[in-house]
Amino acid sequence: MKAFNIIWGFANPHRFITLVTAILPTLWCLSLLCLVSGLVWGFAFTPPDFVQGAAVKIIFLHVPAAFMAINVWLMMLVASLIWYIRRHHISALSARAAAPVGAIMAVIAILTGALWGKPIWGTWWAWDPRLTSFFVLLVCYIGYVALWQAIEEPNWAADATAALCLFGSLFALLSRYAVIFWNQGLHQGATISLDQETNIHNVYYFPLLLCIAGFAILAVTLILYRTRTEILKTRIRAINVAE
Amino acid sequence: MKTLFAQELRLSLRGGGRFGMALVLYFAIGFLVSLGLGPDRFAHQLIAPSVLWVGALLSSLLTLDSLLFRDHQDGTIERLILTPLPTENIIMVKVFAHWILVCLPLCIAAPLVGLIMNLELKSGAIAAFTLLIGTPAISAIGIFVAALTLGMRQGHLLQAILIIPACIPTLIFGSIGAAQLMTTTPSPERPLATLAAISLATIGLTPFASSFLLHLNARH
Repeated sequence: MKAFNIIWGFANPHRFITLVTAILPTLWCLSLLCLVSGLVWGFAFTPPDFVQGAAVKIIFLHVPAAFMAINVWLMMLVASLIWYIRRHHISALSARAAAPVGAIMAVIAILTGALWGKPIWGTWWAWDPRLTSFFVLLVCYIGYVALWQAIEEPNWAADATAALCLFGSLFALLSRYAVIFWNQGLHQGATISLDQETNIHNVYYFPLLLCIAGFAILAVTLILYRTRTEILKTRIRAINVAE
Repeated sequence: MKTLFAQELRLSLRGGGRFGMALVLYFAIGFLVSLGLGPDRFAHQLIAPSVLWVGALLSSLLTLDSLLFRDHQDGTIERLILTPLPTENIIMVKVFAHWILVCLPLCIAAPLVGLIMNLELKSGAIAAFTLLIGTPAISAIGIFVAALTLGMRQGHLLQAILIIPACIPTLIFGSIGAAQLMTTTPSPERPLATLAAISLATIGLTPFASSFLLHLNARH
Protein backbone atom coordinates (compact mmCIF):
# COMPACT_ATOMS: atom_id res chain seq x y z
CA MET A 1 0.00 0.00 0.00
CA LYS A 2 2.88 2.30 0.78
CA ALA A 3 4.19 1.96 -2.78
CA PHE A 4 0.77 2.91 -4.13
CA ASN A 5 0.75 6.06 -2.06
CA ILE A 6 4.02 7.08 -3.65
CA ILE A 7 2.56 6.48 -7.12
CA TRP A 8 -0.56 8.54 -6.41
CA GLY A 9 1.71 11.40 -5.43
CA PHE A 10 2.60 11.76 -9.09
CA ALA A 11 -1.03 12.35 -9.96
CA ASN A 12 -0.13 15.92 -9.11
CA PRO A 13 0.63 17.41 -12.55
CA HIS A 14 3.45 19.56 -11.26
CA ARG A 15 5.28 16.67 -9.62
CA PHE A 16 4.63 14.52 -12.67
CA ILE A 17 6.12 17.06 -15.06
CA THR A 18 9.14 17.61 -12.84
CA LEU A 19 9.82 13.89 -12.67
CA VAL A 20 9.27 13.32 -16.39
CA THR A 21 11.48 16.23 -17.38
CA ALA A 22 14.21 14.87 -15.16
CA ILE A 23 14.18 11.30 -16.47
CA LEU A 24 13.29 11.83 -20.14
CA PRO A 25 16.88 12.38 -21.43
CA THR A 26 18.04 9.16 -19.75
CA LEU A 27 15.11 7.26 -21.22
CA TRP A 28 15.76 8.60 -24.75
CA CYS A 29 19.42 7.55 -24.53
CA LEU A 30 18.58 4.15 -23.09
CA SER A 31 16.01 3.34 -25.78
CA LEU A 32 18.34 4.53 -28.52
CA LEU A 33 21.15 2.41 -27.11
CA CYS A 34 19.00 -0.73 -26.89
CA LEU A 35 17.41 -0.24 -30.30
CA VAL A 36 20.62 0.52 -32.19
CA SER A 37 22.63 -2.26 -30.61
CA GLY A 38 19.75 -4.75 -30.83
CA LEU A 39 18.90 -3.99 -34.45
CA VAL A 40 22.50 -3.86 -35.65
CA TRP A 41 23.26 -7.11 -33.85
CA GLY A 42 20.10 -8.68 -35.21
CA PHE A 43 20.40 -7.54 -38.81
CA ALA A 44 24.15 -7.70 -39.36
CA PHE A 45 25.57 -10.28 -36.99
CA THR A 46 23.12 -13.19 -36.92
CA PRO A 47 23.29 -16.09 -39.38
CA PRO A 48 20.42 -16.61 -41.85
CA ASP A 49 17.88 -19.23 -40.81
CA PHE A 50 18.13 -22.80 -42.16
CA VAL A 51 14.63 -22.70 -43.67
CA GLN A 52 13.63 -19.06 -43.95
CA GLY A 53 16.95 -17.54 -44.99
CA ALA A 54 17.49 -13.88 -44.24
CA ALA A 55 13.72 -13.28 -44.01
CA VAL A 56 13.82 -14.44 -40.40
CA LYS A 57 15.55 -11.21 -39.41
CA ILE A 58 12.34 -9.22 -39.69
CA ILE A 59 11.50 -10.81 -36.34
CA PHE A 60 13.61 -8.09 -34.71
CA LEU A 61 11.03 -5.50 -35.73
CA HIS A 62 7.89 -7.61 -35.88
CA VAL A 63 7.83 -9.23 -32.44
CA PRO A 64 8.75 -6.14 -30.38
CA ALA A 65 6.19 -3.99 -32.23
CA ALA A 66 3.43 -6.57 -31.77
CA PHE A 67 4.36 -6.97 -28.13
CA MET A 68 4.17 -3.24 -27.52
CA ALA A 69 0.93 -2.81 -29.48
CA ILE A 70 -0.79 -5.16 -27.05
CA ASN A 71 0.91 -3.81 -23.95
CA VAL A 72 0.13 -0.19 -24.76
CA TRP A 73 -3.55 -1.12 -25.05
CA LEU A 74 -3.34 -2.85 -21.66
CA MET A 75 -1.74 0.28 -20.25
CA MET A 76 -4.62 2.33 -21.67
CA LEU A 77 -7.06 -0.10 -20.07
CA VAL A 78 -5.42 0.35 -16.66
CA ALA A 79 -5.29 4.12 -17.13
CA SER A 80 -9.00 4.19 -18.06
CA LEU A 81 -9.88 2.19 -14.96
CA ILE A 82 -7.84 4.55 -12.78
CA TRP A 83 -9.62 7.48 -14.41
CA TYR A 84 -13.00 5.97 -13.55
CA ILE A 85 -12.06 5.04 -10.01
CA ARG A 86 -9.85 7.91 -8.87
CA ARG A 87 -10.49 10.67 -11.44
CA HIS A 88 -6.84 11.60 -11.86
CA HIS A 89 -6.61 13.74 -14.97
CA ILE A 90 -3.10 12.55 -15.74
CA SER A 91 -4.46 9.05 -16.06
CA ALA A 92 -6.94 10.03 -18.75
CA LEU A 93 -4.36 12.21 -20.51
CA SER A 94 -1.78 9.44 -20.51
CA ALA A 95 -4.29 7.04 -22.08
CA ARG A 96 -4.94 9.68 -24.72
CA ALA A 97 -1.22 10.17 -25.27
CA ALA A 98 -0.59 6.44 -25.52
CA ALA A 99 -3.19 5.67 -28.20
CA PRO A 100 -1.28 6.93 -31.28
CA VAL A 101 1.89 5.24 -30.04
CA GLY A 102 0.08 1.93 -29.75
CA ALA A 103 -1.59 2.44 -33.13
CA ILE A 104 1.79 2.99 -34.80
CA MET A 105 3.13 -0.14 -33.11
CA ALA A 106 0.17 -2.11 -34.44
CA VAL A 107 0.74 -0.72 -37.93
CA ILE A 108 4.44 -1.66 -37.77
CA ALA A 109 3.54 -5.15 -36.59
CA ILE A 110 0.99 -5.65 -39.37
CA LEU A 111 3.24 -4.24 -42.11
CA THR A 112 6.32 -6.21 -41.10
CA GLY A 113 4.09 -9.25 -40.71
CA ALA A 114 2.88 -8.80 -44.29
CA LEU A 115 6.45 -8.40 -45.55
CA TRP A 116 7.44 -11.54 -43.67
CA GLY A 117 4.36 -13.48 -44.72
CA LYS A 118 4.83 -12.92 -48.46
CA PRO A 119 8.06 -14.93 -48.91
CA ILE A 120 7.31 -17.54 -46.22
CA TRP A 121 3.55 -18.18 -46.43
CA GLY A 122 3.15 -16.92 -49.98
CA THR A 123 0.54 -14.34 -48.98
CA TRP A 124 0.48 -10.84 -47.55
CA TRP A 125 -2.52 -11.43 -45.37
CA ALA A 126 -4.63 -14.29 -44.09
CA TRP A 127 -7.62 -14.36 -41.75
CA ASP A 128 -5.69 -16.18 -39.12
CA PRO A 129 -6.56 -15.74 -35.39
CA ARG A 130 -3.57 -13.60 -34.54
CA LEU A 131 -3.81 -11.48 -37.66
CA THR A 132 -7.52 -10.91 -37.22
CA SER A 133 -7.20 -9.92 -33.59
CA PHE A 134 -4.50 -7.46 -34.58
CA PHE A 135 -6.77 -6.00 -37.21
CA VAL A 136 -9.45 -5.58 -34.54
CA LEU A 137 -6.90 -4.00 -32.22
CA LEU A 138 -5.89 -1.51 -34.90
CA VAL A 139 -9.52 -0.56 -35.58
CA CYS A 140 -10.03 -0.11 -31.83
CA TYR A 141 -7.04 2.23 -31.71
CA ILE A 142 -8.36 4.23 -34.66
CA GLY A 143 -11.82 4.46 -33.11
CA TYR A 144 -10.32 5.52 -29.80
CA VAL A 145 -8.27 8.33 -31.34
CA ALA A 146 -11.22 9.43 -33.47
CA LEU A 147 -13.45 9.59 -30.40
CA TRP A 148 -10.95 11.78 -28.58
CA GLN A 149 -10.85 14.07 -31.59
CA ALA A 150 -14.63 14.27 -31.87
CA ILE A 151 -15.41 15.54 -28.36
CA GLU A 152 -14.40 19.02 -27.35
CA GLU A 153 -15.20 18.87 -23.66
CA PRO A 154 -12.18 17.14 -22.02
CA ASN A 155 -13.97 15.37 -19.15
CA TRP A 156 -16.69 14.04 -21.38
CA ALA A 157 -14.07 12.88 -23.88
CA ALA A 158 -12.14 11.12 -21.13
CA ASP A 159 -15.26 9.35 -19.87
CA ALA A 160 -16.46 8.28 -23.30
CA THR A 161 -13.05 7.03 -24.45
CA ALA A 162 -12.56 5.14 -21.20
CA ALA A 163 -15.90 3.42 -21.79
CA LEU A 164 -14.79 2.59 -25.32
CA CYS A 165 -11.48 1.24 -24.04
CA LEU A 166 -13.17 -1.12 -21.59
CA PHE A 167 -15.71 -2.29 -24.17
CA GLY A 168 -13.11 -2.51 -26.92
CA SER A 169 -10.86 -4.72 -24.80
CA LEU A 170 -13.74 -7.10 -24.30
CA PHE A 171 -14.38 -7.36 -28.02
CA ALA A 172 -10.73 -7.56 -29.05
CA LEU A 173 -10.36 -10.49 -26.66
CA LEU A 174 -13.58 -12.09 -27.86
CA SER A 175 -12.56 -11.77 -31.52
CA ARG A 176 -9.30 -13.47 -30.71
CA TYR A 177 -11.13 -16.51 -29.39
CA ALA A 178 -13.80 -16.33 -32.08
CA VAL A 179 -11.39 -16.73 -34.98
CA ILE A 180 -9.71 -19.72 -33.34
CA PHE A 181 -12.86 -21.54 -34.47
CA TRP A 182 -11.67 -21.25 -38.05
CA ASN A 183 -8.84 -23.65 -37.24
CA GLN A 184 -6.54 -22.43 -39.94
CA GLY A 185 -3.74 -20.73 -38.10
CA LEU A 186 -0.89 -19.84 -40.41
CA HIS A 187 0.83 -17.90 -37.70
CA GLN A 188 3.14 -19.88 -35.48
CA GLY A 189 2.73 -20.01 -31.72
CA ALA A 190 4.69 -17.93 -29.26
CA THR A 191 8.43 -18.07 -29.87
CA ILE A 192 9.32 -16.57 -26.55
CA SER A 193 8.06 -17.75 -23.22
CA LEU A 194 9.38 -18.12 -19.74
CA ASP A 195 9.88 -21.87 -20.09
CA GLN A 196 13.06 -22.22 -22.10
CA GLU A 197 12.11 -25.33 -24.08
CA THR A 198 9.94 -23.66 -26.69
CA ASN A 199 12.22 -20.69 -27.20
CA ILE A 200 13.99 -19.90 -30.44
CA HIS A 201 17.72 -20.40 -30.71
CA ASN A 202 19.94 -18.25 -28.53
CA VAL A 203 21.57 -16.72 -31.60
CA TYR A 204 18.30 -14.87 -32.25
CA TYR A 205 17.05 -14.79 -28.69
CA PHE A 206 19.50 -12.31 -27.18
CA PRO A 207 19.32 -9.60 -29.88
CA LEU A 208 15.53 -10.06 -29.86
CA LEU A 209 15.40 -9.43 -26.13
CA LEU A 210 17.48 -6.30 -26.66
CA CYS A 211 15.08 -5.11 -29.38
CA ILE A 212 12.05 -5.76 -27.18
CA ALA A 213 13.66 -3.79 -24.37
CA GLY A 214 14.43 -0.98 -26.82
CA PHE A 215 10.85 -0.86 -28.13
CA ALA A 216 9.43 -1.00 -24.61
CA ILE A 217 11.60 1.84 -23.34
CA LEU A 218 10.90 3.83 -26.50
CA ALA A 219 7.13 3.40 -26.03
CA VAL A 220 7.35 4.44 -22.37
CA THR A 221 9.46 7.45 -23.32
CA LEU A 222 7.06 8.53 -26.06
CA ILE A 223 4.05 8.10 -23.79
CA LEU A 224 5.62 10.13 -20.98
CA TYR A 225 6.70 12.81 -23.46
CA ARG A 226 3.26 13.00 -25.03
CA THR A 227 1.53 13.01 -21.63
CA ARG A 228 3.65 15.99 -20.62
CA THR A 229 2.61 17.72 -23.84
CA GLU A 230 -1.05 16.99 -23.12
CA ILE A 231 -0.76 18.44 -19.62
CA LEU A 232 0.85 21.58 -20.98
CA LYS A 233 -1.88 21.86 -23.62
CA THR A 234 -4.51 21.61 -20.89
CA ARG A 235 -2.78 24.40 -19.00
CA ILE A 236 -2.69 26.60 -22.07
CA ARG A 237 -6.39 26.00 -22.59
CA ALA A 238 -7.05 26.90 -18.96
CA ILE A 239 -5.11 30.14 -19.36
CA ASN A 240 -7.02 31.00 -22.51
CA VAL A 241 -10.34 30.37 -20.77
CA ALA A 242 -9.28 32.47 -17.78
CA GLU A 243 -8.44 35.39 -20.00
CA MET B 1 -42.70 1.05 -19.66
CA LYS B 2 -45.49 -0.50 -21.64
CA THR B 3 -46.60 2.92 -22.80
CA LEU B 4 -43.07 3.79 -23.79
CA PHE B 5 -42.74 0.56 -25.72
CA ALA B 6 -46.03 1.08 -27.55
CA GLN B 7 -45.06 4.64 -28.36
CA GLU B 8 -41.69 3.55 -29.64
CA LEU B 9 -43.29 0.99 -31.95
CA ARG B 10 -45.93 3.43 -33.15
CA LEU B 11 -43.45 6.21 -33.89
CA SER B 12 -41.20 3.91 -35.87
CA LEU B 13 -44.04 2.40 -37.86
CA ARG B 14 -45.58 5.74 -38.71
CA GLY B 15 -42.20 7.25 -39.42
CA GLY B 16 -42.00 4.68 -42.22
CA GLY B 17 -38.31 4.60 -42.88
CA ARG B 18 -36.27 2.26 -40.89
CA PHE B 19 -38.27 -0.90 -40.65
CA GLY B 20 -39.01 -1.11 -44.35
CA MET B 21 -35.60 0.12 -45.41
CA ALA B 22 -33.72 -2.66 -43.60
CA LEU B 23 -35.89 -5.34 -45.21
CA VAL B 24 -35.50 -3.92 -48.69
CA LEU B 25 -31.76 -3.63 -48.24
CA TYR B 26 -31.58 -7.24 -47.05
CA PHE B 27 -33.31 -8.50 -50.18
CA ALA B 28 -31.20 -6.19 -52.32
CA ILE B 29 -28.00 -7.61 -50.82
CA GLY B 30 -29.08 -11.20 -51.47
CA PHE B 31 -30.18 -10.32 -54.99
CA LEU B 32 -27.06 -8.34 -55.91
CA VAL B 33 -24.65 -10.90 -54.52
CA SER B 34 -26.29 -13.72 -56.45
CA LEU B 35 -26.27 -11.64 -59.61
CA GLY B 36 -22.63 -10.75 -59.09
CA LEU B 37 -21.73 -14.36 -58.44
CA GLY B 38 -23.05 -15.71 -61.75
CA PRO B 39 -25.08 -18.85 -62.42
CA ASP B 40 -23.00 -21.36 -60.40
CA ARG B 41 -25.50 -22.96 -57.99
CA PHE B 42 -22.85 -24.66 -55.92
CA ALA B 43 -20.98 -21.41 -55.25
CA HIS B 44 -24.25 -19.84 -54.15
CA GLN B 45 -24.91 -22.52 -51.59
CA LEU B 46 -21.35 -22.33 -50.35
CA ILE B 47 -21.45 -18.65 -49.48
CA ALA B 48 -25.15 -18.35 -48.67
CA PRO B 49 -24.84 -18.61 -44.84
CA SER B 50 -22.25 -15.85 -44.71
CA VAL B 51 -24.20 -13.66 -47.12
CA LEU B 52 -27.34 -14.09 -45.03
CA TRP B 53 -25.42 -13.06 -41.94
CA VAL B 54 -23.48 -10.17 -43.43
CA GLY B 55 -26.65 -8.90 -45.08
CA ALA B 56 -28.60 -8.98 -41.83
CA LEU B 57 -25.76 -7.23 -40.04
CA LEU B 58 -25.44 -4.46 -42.63
CA SER B 59 -29.14 -3.80 -42.98
CA SER B 60 -29.76 -3.65 -39.26
CA LEU B 61 -26.74 -1.42 -38.74
CA LEU B 62 -28.15 1.01 -41.25
CA THR B 63 -31.02 1.72 -38.88
CA LEU B 64 -28.87 2.33 -35.81
CA ASP B 65 -28.66 5.97 -36.46
CA SER B 66 -32.37 6.53 -35.86
CA LEU B 67 -32.23 4.60 -32.58
CA LEU B 68 -31.41 7.55 -30.35
CA PHE B 69 -30.63 10.29 -32.83
CA ARG B 70 -34.17 11.58 -33.34
CA ASP B 71 -34.93 11.54 -29.63
CA HIS B 72 -31.75 13.42 -28.97
CA GLN B 73 -32.52 16.06 -31.55
CA ASP B 74 -35.97 16.94 -30.27
CA GLY B 75 -34.93 16.66 -26.63
CA THR B 76 -36.98 13.57 -25.76
CA ILE B 77 -33.91 11.88 -24.30
CA GLU B 78 -33.52 14.51 -21.58
CA ARG B 79 -37.19 14.19 -20.67
CA LEU B 80 -36.93 10.41 -20.54
CA ILE B 81 -33.88 10.57 -18.29
CA LEU B 82 -35.75 12.85 -15.90
CA THR B 83 -38.71 10.48 -15.54
CA PRO B 84 -38.76 8.25 -12.44
CA LEU B 85 -38.23 5.25 -14.74
CA PRO B 86 -34.62 3.98 -14.54
CA THR B 87 -32.69 4.89 -17.68
CA GLU B 88 -31.60 1.26 -17.98
CA ASN B 89 -35.24 0.30 -18.50
CA ILE B 90 -35.65 2.93 -21.19
CA ILE B 91 -32.59 1.59 -23.01
CA MET B 92 -33.95 -1.93 -22.66
CA VAL B 93 -37.27 -0.87 -24.17
CA LYS B 94 -35.48 0.78 -27.07
CA VAL B 95 -33.32 -2.27 -27.71
CA PHE B 96 -36.35 -4.52 -27.65
CA ALA B 97 -38.35 -2.25 -29.95
CA HIS B 98 -35.43 -2.10 -32.38
CA TRP B 99 -35.12 -5.84 -32.35
CA ILE B 100 -38.84 -6.40 -32.94
CA LEU B 101 -39.06 -3.83 -35.71
CA VAL B 102 -35.81 -4.40 -37.55
CA CYS B 103 -34.16 -7.68 -36.63
CA LEU B 104 -37.20 -9.94 -36.33
CA PRO B 105 -38.43 -9.14 -39.86
CA LEU B 106 -34.90 -9.83 -41.10
CA CYS B 107 -34.94 -13.24 -39.38
CA ILE B 108 -38.29 -14.04 -40.97
CA ALA B 109 -37.08 -12.87 -44.36
CA ALA B 110 -33.86 -14.89 -44.16
CA PRO B 111 -35.30 -18.13 -45.70
CA LEU B 112 -36.71 -16.09 -48.59
CA VAL B 113 -33.39 -14.37 -49.22
CA GLY B 114 -31.91 -17.86 -48.96
CA LEU B 115 -34.21 -18.94 -51.80
CA ILE B 116 -32.73 -16.21 -53.98
CA MET B 117 -29.32 -17.67 -53.14
CA ASN B 118 -30.40 -21.18 -54.21
CA LEU B 119 -30.62 -22.32 -50.62
CA GLU B 120 -33.24 -24.89 -49.63
CA LEU B 121 -35.99 -23.71 -47.33
CA LYS B 122 -34.76 -25.99 -44.56
CA SER B 123 -31.25 -24.50 -44.65
CA GLY B 124 -32.79 -21.04 -44.83
CA ALA B 125 -34.77 -21.80 -41.69
CA ILE B 126 -31.54 -22.87 -39.99
CA ALA B 127 -29.93 -19.57 -40.93
CA ALA B 128 -33.00 -17.76 -39.61
CA PHE B 129 -32.65 -19.69 -36.34
CA THR B 130 -29.01 -18.59 -35.89
CA LEU B 131 -30.02 -15.02 -36.74
CA LEU B 132 -32.73 -15.24 -34.09
CA ILE B 133 -30.06 -16.15 -31.54
CA GLY B 134 -27.51 -13.59 -32.65
CA THR B 135 -29.40 -10.45 -33.64
CA PRO B 136 -30.20 -9.31 -30.07
CA ALA B 137 -26.48 -8.77 -29.69
CA ILE B 138 -26.49 -6.52 -32.76
CA SER B 139 -29.31 -4.37 -31.36
CA ALA B 140 -27.58 -4.14 -27.98
CA ILE B 141 -24.16 -3.29 -29.40
CA GLY B 142 -25.86 -0.83 -31.71
CA ILE B 143 -27.48 1.14 -28.94
CA PHE B 144 -24.20 1.26 -27.03
CA VAL B 145 -22.39 2.73 -30.03
CA ALA B 146 -25.30 5.11 -30.70
CA ALA B 147 -25.19 6.31 -27.09
CA LEU B 148 -21.43 6.71 -27.28
CA THR B 149 -21.48 8.89 -30.38
CA LEU B 150 -24.64 10.83 -29.58
CA GLY B 151 -24.48 14.50 -30.38
CA MET B 152 -20.99 14.47 -31.84
CA ARG B 153 -19.88 16.25 -34.94
CA GLN B 154 -18.68 13.22 -36.87
CA GLY B 155 -21.08 10.86 -35.16
CA HIS B 156 -21.88 8.81 -38.26
CA LEU B 157 -18.28 8.22 -39.23
CA LEU B 158 -17.43 7.25 -35.66
CA GLN B 159 -20.33 4.81 -35.53
CA ALA B 160 -19.08 3.14 -38.68
CA ILE B 161 -15.55 2.80 -37.26
CA LEU B 162 -16.62 1.59 -33.82
CA ILE B 163 -19.22 -0.89 -34.94
CA ILE B 164 -16.76 -2.97 -37.00
CA PRO B 165 -14.70 -4.47 -34.16
CA ALA B 166 -17.77 -4.75 -31.95
CA CYS B 167 -19.68 -6.92 -34.41
CA ILE B 168 -16.87 -9.24 -35.51
CA PRO B 169 -17.38 -11.96 -32.84
CA THR B 170 -21.13 -12.06 -33.39
CA LEU B 171 -20.68 -12.33 -37.14
CA ILE B 172 -18.05 -15.04 -36.93
CA PHE B 173 -19.92 -17.26 -34.50
CA GLY B 174 -23.20 -16.68 -36.31
CA SER B 175 -22.05 -17.57 -39.79
CA ILE B 176 -19.94 -20.50 -38.58
CA GLY B 177 -22.88 -21.78 -36.57
CA ALA B 178 -25.22 -21.50 -39.56
CA ALA B 179 -22.77 -23.19 -41.93
CA GLN B 180 -22.04 -26.01 -39.48
CA LEU B 181 -25.72 -26.69 -38.80
CA MET B 182 -26.42 -26.90 -42.52
CA THR B 183 -23.66 -29.40 -43.22
CA THR B 184 -24.17 -31.45 -40.03
CA THR B 185 -20.66 -31.23 -38.63
CA PRO B 186 -20.08 -33.17 -35.38
CA SER B 187 -20.59 -30.45 -32.77
CA PRO B 188 -22.55 -27.48 -34.15
CA GLU B 189 -23.73 -26.42 -30.71
CA ARG B 190 -20.43 -24.88 -29.64
CA PRO B 191 -20.47 -21.75 -31.83
CA LEU B 192 -24.22 -21.42 -31.28
CA ALA B 193 -23.85 -21.61 -27.51
CA THR B 194 -21.14 -18.95 -27.68
CA LEU B 195 -23.36 -16.84 -29.91
CA ALA B 196 -26.19 -17.09 -27.37
CA ALA B 197 -23.74 -16.19 -24.62
CA ILE B 198 -22.64 -13.07 -26.53
CA SER B 199 -26.28 -12.06 -27.04
CA LEU B 200 -27.18 -12.52 -23.40
CA ALA B 201 -24.04 -10.81 -22.12
CA THR B 202 -24.41 -7.77 -24.37
CA ILE B 203 -28.10 -7.45 -23.53
CA GLY B 204 -27.23 -7.65 -19.85
CA LEU B 205 -24.39 -5.14 -20.01
CA THR B 206 -25.39 -2.51 -22.55
CA PRO B 207 -28.36 -1.02 -20.67
CA PHE B 208 -26.01 -0.06 -17.85
CA ALA B 209 -23.20 1.12 -20.10
CA SER B 210 -25.54 3.05 -22.40
CA SER B 211 -27.48 4.73 -19.62
CA PHE B 212 -24.17 5.76 -18.07
CA LEU B 213 -23.20 7.31 -21.40
CA LEU B 214 -26.58 9.00 -21.80
CA HIS B 215 -26.31 10.61 -18.37
CA LEU B 216 -22.81 11.72 -19.26
CA ASN B 217 -24.12 13.14 -22.49
CA ALA B 218 -26.92 15.00 -20.75
CA ARG B 219 -24.55 16.45 -18.18
CA HIS B 220 -22.24 18.04 -20.73
